[in-house]
Amino acid sequence: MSIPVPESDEEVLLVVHKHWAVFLPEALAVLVPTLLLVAAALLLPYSVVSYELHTAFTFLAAFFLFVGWVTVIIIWTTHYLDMLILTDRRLLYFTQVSLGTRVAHEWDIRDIHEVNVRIGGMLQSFLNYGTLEITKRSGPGYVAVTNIRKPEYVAAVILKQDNRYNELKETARKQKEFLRFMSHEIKGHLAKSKAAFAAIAEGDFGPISTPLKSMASSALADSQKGVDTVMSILQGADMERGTTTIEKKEFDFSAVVRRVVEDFRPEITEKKLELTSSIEDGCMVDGDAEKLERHVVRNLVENAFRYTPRGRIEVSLTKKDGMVHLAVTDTGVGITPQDMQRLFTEGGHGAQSKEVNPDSTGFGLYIAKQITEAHGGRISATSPGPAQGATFSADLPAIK
Amino acid sequence: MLVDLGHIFLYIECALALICGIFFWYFWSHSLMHRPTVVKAVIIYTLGCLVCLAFSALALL
Repeated sequence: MSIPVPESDEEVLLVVHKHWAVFLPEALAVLVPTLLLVAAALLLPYSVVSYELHTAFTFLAAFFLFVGWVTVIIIWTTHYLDMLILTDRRLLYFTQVSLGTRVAHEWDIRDIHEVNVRIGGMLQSFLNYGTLEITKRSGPGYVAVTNIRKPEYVAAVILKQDNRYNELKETARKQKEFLRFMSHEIKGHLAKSKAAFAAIAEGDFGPISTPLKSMASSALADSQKGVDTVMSILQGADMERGTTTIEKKEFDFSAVVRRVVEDFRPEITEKKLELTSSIEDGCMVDGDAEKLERHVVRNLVENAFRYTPRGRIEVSLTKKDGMVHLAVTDTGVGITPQDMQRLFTEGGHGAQSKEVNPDSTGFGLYIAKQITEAHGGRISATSPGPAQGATFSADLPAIK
Repeated sequence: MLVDLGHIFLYIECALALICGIFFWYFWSHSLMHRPTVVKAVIIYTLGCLVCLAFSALALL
């Protein structure tokens, strides 16, 4: 099994070993008989046994002493490597059963339900060591961490860390609620501004001068961008709360992809990028056409457009093994392994994405993933590395 | 003759102590043990072995 060692950005808060009082009796049980043998060899008078026999006996005693010493070292090793490691996000417990056998337990701090301390007997009480019984939220029973030093202190540190996580979780929930509330408010104001600028630009209040019209059009575009940003934040919040409804209906996914490609063609061509598409006909999907188009297909093509300064974009749609496979490949900025990990997370930005695309909210791919998975599909990304382009794929169940 | 055999045993014990020492050093260095603890453990192991070997050598006197 793989040993869950602390990650590089993980802070180790506590490393606790077993108490020496457990090691000592085992070591003495091995050493005392061999030492007695040595003492007997030293004290045995030559008058009782012959010189040869005395030498053989002494050798034997010395050899047993050596074997006993190596055994004690092995016992100490297994004893010392039994350890409990508390980090800021996990609790790791290693049990060195023998030199070659190690068992590792791992708990997420948030998954710890209860930590009980059991100190049994005078010796444990006097030397301050005992057993921790750790219960998980996600499973029955408990794991006993036996004979560790200062068990009450260790339990207190674990529970403090657990409380800290709960507090952080509550703060994050409140922040999200606040963000959602603010987004709703801003959306209302932006929608009003957008309508007003649209009315001015379209001449609803009478003829206007060319500079004013240009300014109103620019303000209208900015308002639209603001509405889109707020809408994506709200959509992300709704996805997380599970309040998004998916209205499934049979539709032609090929037509949707073709339409999105053609919608983006002028912008892509204007940016001097090469756009190629290979779209298989008759890829029928049972799903919410509007949400799949807006949040998945449009999002993937738009991302390829935004993050590709030069080169080409390829869009392909194929049907294979009962799945519809959409792939958008570009020769753009690529994805680092670090960015890859948070690519589909809520508000997850790439390290340089804000430089390339300042309007990015970080919710686009998160929503695309949620929508795809709500349809029983999956979304993924691959990239050879930074500045080497990327391929985003979405697979959806096809209707036969 | 027994003393000669004793010398051979002593060499074997020395070799065993060395092999075990190398094994422990390797094992501890590749475990979760910290470097200072490994160094201390190697020193203590060596001292223990020296006592055992000294006692074996005593038998040869």
